[in-house]
Amino acid sequence: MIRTHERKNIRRNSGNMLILSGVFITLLAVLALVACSFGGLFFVFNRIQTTTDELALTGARKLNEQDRIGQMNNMIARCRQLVYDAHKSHTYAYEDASQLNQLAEQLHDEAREGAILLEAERQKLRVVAVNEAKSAITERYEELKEGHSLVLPWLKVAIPTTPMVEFGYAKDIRSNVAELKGIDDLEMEDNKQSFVLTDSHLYKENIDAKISTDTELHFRISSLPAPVQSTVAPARCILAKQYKSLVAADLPSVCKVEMKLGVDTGIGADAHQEMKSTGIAVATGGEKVL
Amino acid sequence: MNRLAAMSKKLTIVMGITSIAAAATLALAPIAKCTEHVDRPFEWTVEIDTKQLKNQFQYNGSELKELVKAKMSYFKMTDEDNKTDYEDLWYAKSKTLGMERHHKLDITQGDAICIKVKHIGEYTSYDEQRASGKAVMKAVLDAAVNKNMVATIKVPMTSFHTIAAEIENYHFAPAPASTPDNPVDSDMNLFLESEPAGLTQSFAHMH
Repeated sequence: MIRTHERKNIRRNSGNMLILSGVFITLLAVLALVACSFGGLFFVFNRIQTTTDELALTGARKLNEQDRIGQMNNMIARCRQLVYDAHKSHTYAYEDASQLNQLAEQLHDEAREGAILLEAERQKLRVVAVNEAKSAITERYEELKEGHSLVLPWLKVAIPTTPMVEFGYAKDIRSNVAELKGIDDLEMEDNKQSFVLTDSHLYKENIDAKISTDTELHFRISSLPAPVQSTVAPARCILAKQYKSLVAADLPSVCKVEMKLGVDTGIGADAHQEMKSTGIAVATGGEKVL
Repeated sequence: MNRLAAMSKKLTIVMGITSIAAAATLALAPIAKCTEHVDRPFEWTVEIDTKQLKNQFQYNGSELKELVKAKMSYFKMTDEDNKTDYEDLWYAKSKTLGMERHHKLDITQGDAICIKVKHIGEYTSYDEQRASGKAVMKAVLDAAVNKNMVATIKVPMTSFHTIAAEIENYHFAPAPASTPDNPVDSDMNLFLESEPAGLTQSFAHMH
């Protein structure tokens, strides 16, 4: 009787391992699928970020192609000197040397005309640089977008959306123009107005360096990396917190690109995600001299 | 006989034309006179080196592509090797764009100066020649402000006429050379001569 009862309580162990193994393998498979999905997401995010950075760099390089913004900044600073000096000579001629008045007046008028022409060209350059940068980004996007599409059992990646492009400048990047000396009065005026940084002797970024003698004229100097020991700074990616939107009609030196990408992980019925990546790059630096 | 008469007639016509040409040359002599040597003493030379710049402002629709740089320096005639960089000027399509002064015009007040133009580069464009003329006038004004008299302006032979025309744009008119015997009544006179020598032109300031 006792033996019969004991036998009834004793379970057979022979099938347990099969069940345990089954459960374990299933768990492992689910974990592998999850890992693949997250790994895939990580991979896709890195890829879209690389593409966005590349597009931002493409736009940033185009902005200051052939140092056109750097040259404009440098010429604007030199135009200031020209107008200031012409005004000074004209004032002297008017007050003390009447025989020179006509010549001094004509040269002063020409200097002013030069400043007006330069301002018009600066505005034209702004439009050209922005449009060319946008075109370059679109062209590169067309080349890269197809490579993003991916269909796997656990991951579906769509084609990234058309990039949204913005232009601005970078915090703490001054202008590429070295302080111009040679006219003491103008140098003093610049120091008084704090147009020039005392440590680097560069003009500040995004200023309208008007001169007291002719306040109608605009001399806008834009932000652009200055060369370091005669080496021009290459275009490079920067952090999002360094980006600043342009508030006035300054020339842009930073390109910001945003892209979105639809991703389906294949886990669950409602696993559609939209990834967003932002790439910000600063333009190639300018020369200090013309 | 007839042939002789015809030849004589032709000779008369040729001689007539030659006389008219000679008279015209003499009449125009004060405007562009050939000369071998003009003695106008000066103590200082202000040299203007002009150069057409490439690869500047290269963007679509740029009005500043044809940029000319005029580099001004000065030296005392007794110390030609010791040049002082004075200022750089930039011109685009003959419009003055910018200036960078490197040094004050440290020329002794009252000293006479010579302004000398040189073109750097094999080919000198019309814009570069006009820019040279404008740079000359800037040097004339700077010298006058510094109380220096411009004794002479020496320019390359190839640019002589363009620079002369540019000077006229600044209210200067061709005039006979002012000499102690025949002074020209003007508050400012300029004397332009070519290098190598051959062409000269005097200008008087017109109000």
